[in-house]
Amino acid sequence: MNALTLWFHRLGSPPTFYAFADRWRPWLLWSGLLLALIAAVWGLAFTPADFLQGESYRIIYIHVPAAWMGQFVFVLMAVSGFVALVWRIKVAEIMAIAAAPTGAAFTAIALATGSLWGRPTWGTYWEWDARLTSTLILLFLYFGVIGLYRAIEDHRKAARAAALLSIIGLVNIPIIQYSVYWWNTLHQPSSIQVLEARSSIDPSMLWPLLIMALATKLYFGWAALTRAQTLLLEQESGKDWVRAIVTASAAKQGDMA
Amino acid sequence: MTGQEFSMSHWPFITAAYGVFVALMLTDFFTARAGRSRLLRELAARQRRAKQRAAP
Repeated sequence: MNALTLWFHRLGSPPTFYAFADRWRPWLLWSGLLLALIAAVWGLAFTPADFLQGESYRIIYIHVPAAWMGQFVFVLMAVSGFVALVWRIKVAEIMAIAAAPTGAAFTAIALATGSLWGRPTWGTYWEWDARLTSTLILLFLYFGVIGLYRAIEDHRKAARAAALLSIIGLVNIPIIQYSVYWWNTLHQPSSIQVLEARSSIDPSMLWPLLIMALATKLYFGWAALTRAQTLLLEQESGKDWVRAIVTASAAKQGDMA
Repeated sequence: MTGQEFSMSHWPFITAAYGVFVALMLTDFFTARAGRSRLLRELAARQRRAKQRAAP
């Protein structure tokens, strides 16, 4: 077994995963916040206005990273769900469900900011076009996964049901991606082709977008690890390693008081 | 409408979009953080009660 495989196996153990999350959470949060601030200031104040859309294109710096994250997180949930269903790894079950609220938040941001971009650009807040409708379905799928998990009392059964729904819902991702090519939509085709490393955006406008995309991923890492830690503490509350963490946390709170 | 007027009329939309972004991100941040802190406090209280029950 090589070192990477061994590391993944170790990470499957709840106490190891909890310690790993504890080590990485502050780095992910602060670096994500710093990069988001840099990208927002750069995008709002130091990039030129678009020759066709004027200033309104500046919404791109939050709309596009949020839309990417909405889809990326759902794929991640489905992969974690698949691992959880096939290998019955508790940490994978937990990661699949821990990712959902932030994924839903990003999808809601993509829809709301897209709507606010649409008004000055297209003259309407909403159109039942293929890209917008399939993204709205993605938001409902997130709500479905979260709702299903909360509706079933047994945590492990709930996680497996939610994992199955996220795998089924995965079919919506290529529909969102290719909707602008398959149907005659109001939404423009992708300006950036990630797989082909090609972009039609000028580099002076592109960098803040890429930095914001990285910032949203770092923030997502923090949020998913924080929620995964909460779910692990809840599900393993009778175990010794949780008791040790709770005692240490209470002592720390006592010191601070 | 001149080009500059056209561009300036977009700022309310840009402000609203960034406002939505910040509001939803802060909601997500505080929800995630509060969930973990609340559970740690609950588990600590449960542990204290168990210790008190066990004491002679």
